[in-house]
Amino acid sequence: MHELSLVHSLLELIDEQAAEHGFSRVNLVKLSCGRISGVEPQALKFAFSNTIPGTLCAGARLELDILPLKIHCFDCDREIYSNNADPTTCPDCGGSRVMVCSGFEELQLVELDVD
Amino acid sequence: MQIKVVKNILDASRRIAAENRALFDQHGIYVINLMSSPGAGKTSLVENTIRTLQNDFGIGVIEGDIQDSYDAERIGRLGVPVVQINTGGACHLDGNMIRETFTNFDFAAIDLLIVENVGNLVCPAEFEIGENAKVMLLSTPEGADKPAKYPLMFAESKVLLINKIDLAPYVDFDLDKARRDALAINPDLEIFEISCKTGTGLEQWLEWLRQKIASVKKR
Repeated sequence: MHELSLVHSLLELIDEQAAEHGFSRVNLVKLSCGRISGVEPQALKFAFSNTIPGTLCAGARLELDILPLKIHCFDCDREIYSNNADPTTCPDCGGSRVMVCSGFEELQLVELDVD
Repeated sequence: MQIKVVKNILDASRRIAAENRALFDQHGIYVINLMSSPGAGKTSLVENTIRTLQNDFGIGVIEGDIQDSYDAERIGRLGVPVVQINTGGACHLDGNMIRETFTNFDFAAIDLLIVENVGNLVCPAEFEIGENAKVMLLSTPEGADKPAKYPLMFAESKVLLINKIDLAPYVDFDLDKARRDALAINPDLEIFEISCKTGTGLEQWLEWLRQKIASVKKR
């Protein structure tokens, strides 16, 4: 719901990087976030493409790497990567004696390709 | 040219939150960020909390709503300082909005600041405002599936209050599932079962809060 404000924060961060590294054009922006971080990829891409005209990022591509949801299932007694959006159910045995190990990582700027 | 960056996008808003927090720490104020769906009973909880603690502690309240000042009027009747923030459509409070209320409070007279966030199970979890603890309120009529469906709220909270526990038998609330799923997401979560209507369980919540306020209190 606040992907637009995430994009504004992202563009500020890129402006800081531009001042530090002295570039004037961004070709590619690589981001990452956890599977259940709450970031909605489609909304983020839409907000990005609508915000970048007239900025350093005009025409830039956005890549979003979604980090997997990993849970520990106490019944299977192992860690399992899950494509299931529900982090409280084991994708293998369907059991609910689980613990979330990762997937909440917040949105990060990982890499820029610039001129 | 490739530049490796690795920076959190929300760092700017987190910096503001950290500045707010430093100010609260300096004044010995414990701050809770109260989050829930609309209608879960946040304002009733705030009223109950104020009534019991206001003889022992100075309390201030910030009410966040998209519009209207109904909640602030309810809290104002209890005689504590309260500021209403109308976000005008925004779905959560952020550190900047909180900062703008500071001129309305005498921090020297406040030990506990309660921030009642906009009713929403998604966005408030993603923003820090300078709080010591996010406190999540889940009411039994909403259903026990909420931790599984809105995991970030439960991951970010220190306390889960399961409110309207008196209604649990009537709305088929599966308490075991709610507890199990919430703890799968956040094993450190403190869970209290309460009813703002009957008063059930409120003493345990208030005792938790008293201890936290005392741990940062100025005098």
